[in-house]
Amino acid sequence: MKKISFIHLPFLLMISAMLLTGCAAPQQVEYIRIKRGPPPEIVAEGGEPKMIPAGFIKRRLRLGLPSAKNVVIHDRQYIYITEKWFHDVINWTEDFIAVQVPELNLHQKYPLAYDETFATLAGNIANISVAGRYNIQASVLIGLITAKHLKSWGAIPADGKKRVYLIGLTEKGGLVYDLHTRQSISFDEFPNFESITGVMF
Amino acid sequence: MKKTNPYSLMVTWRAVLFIVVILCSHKAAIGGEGDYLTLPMPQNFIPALQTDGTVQYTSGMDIEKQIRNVSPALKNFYYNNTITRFIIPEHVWLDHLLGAYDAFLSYIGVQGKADTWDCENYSGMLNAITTLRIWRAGFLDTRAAIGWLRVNAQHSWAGLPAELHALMFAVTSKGIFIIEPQNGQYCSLADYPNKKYIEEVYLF
Repeated sequence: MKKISFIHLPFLLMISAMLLTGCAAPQQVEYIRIKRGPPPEIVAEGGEPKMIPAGFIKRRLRLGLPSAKNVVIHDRQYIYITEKWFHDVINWTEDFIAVQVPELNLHQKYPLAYDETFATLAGNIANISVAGRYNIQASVLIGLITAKHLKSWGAIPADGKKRVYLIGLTEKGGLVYDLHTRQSISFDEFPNFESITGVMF
Repeated sequence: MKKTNPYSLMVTWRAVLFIVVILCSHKAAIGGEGDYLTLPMPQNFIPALQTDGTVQYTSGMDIEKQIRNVSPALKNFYYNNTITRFIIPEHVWLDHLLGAYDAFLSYIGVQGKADTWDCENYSGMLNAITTLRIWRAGFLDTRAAIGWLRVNAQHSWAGLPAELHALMFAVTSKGIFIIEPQNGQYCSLADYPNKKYIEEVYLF
């Protein structure tokens, strides 16, 4: 067999590099450029992240929300985040969506299941940030509630329609946020608290 | 000892330098640039078409029926019943999606961790990214048929032991596919060895 001489080595290395970079960048990928989000701000208690077990939340929701047919809780433990960071995550998620689907901002169009997709994205973006910075086994609580609108809330009328809102767990407790009017209120003071039909996070 | 030719040494060093530059510039292309991130996303969504050229859709009920047909152990199937139709991608796009998602996860450097980043996070993020690509393609009245399921696995599959486990699934033009989020390996529902033991499905 013919030996490969030393002079061939650089070319072999170049070919290897091209193959390596080719493998690392799949052809099916498109890149989006977006501003970095602000670092996570979690709430501490006694020098440790403040957490709440899912079982406790579930019991409280089942007792406090007799009208809720579906209570779906995915994780076992949840952390508290600052209200400021909750709003930062919402703003960053809006940017993330706008970069990819600019026409939503241009025409103020909201696609089907916009709120649900937004909540999934926001919750996961928050968890990615936390996982990258802290070594904890708990999830950020950002999810959804569905409520029948029997009482008005700001500009949203009491029309009996079912609406979806974002919820978060912050240093001030549970927070309800409306993506369309950008208003927020504490979970306990939410006007349609008694007509919440579903909770998922 | 054999003497090294100084010319070939110089060429070798240049080649090494070339490799370093290539690798660094590639890293910069997929990585962060100061205050900005450059995130990998799947290429344009490719919808599956019917023979008359119209786009193919499925429903939550249809997906539930197909899974119930193969899994007597199925207890709960959760989905948002206000979404009446889920758009179906051409099967090849699943490879585009999973390739890009793998690049996305490698870039952000997130590792599987109970609660903080586990199966429903893998699945939820994949579902949301897919839905954004669907909207970007102009289909604003629908979303992706991607979710996750809990299975009491009796057979090892995709390098994972036979135990209670959560996996993802996606519907494409070729049917329902089960995906292992930890390594991107997938197979059709019909070929999935633990299909009889699927207990819960979340189409979120």
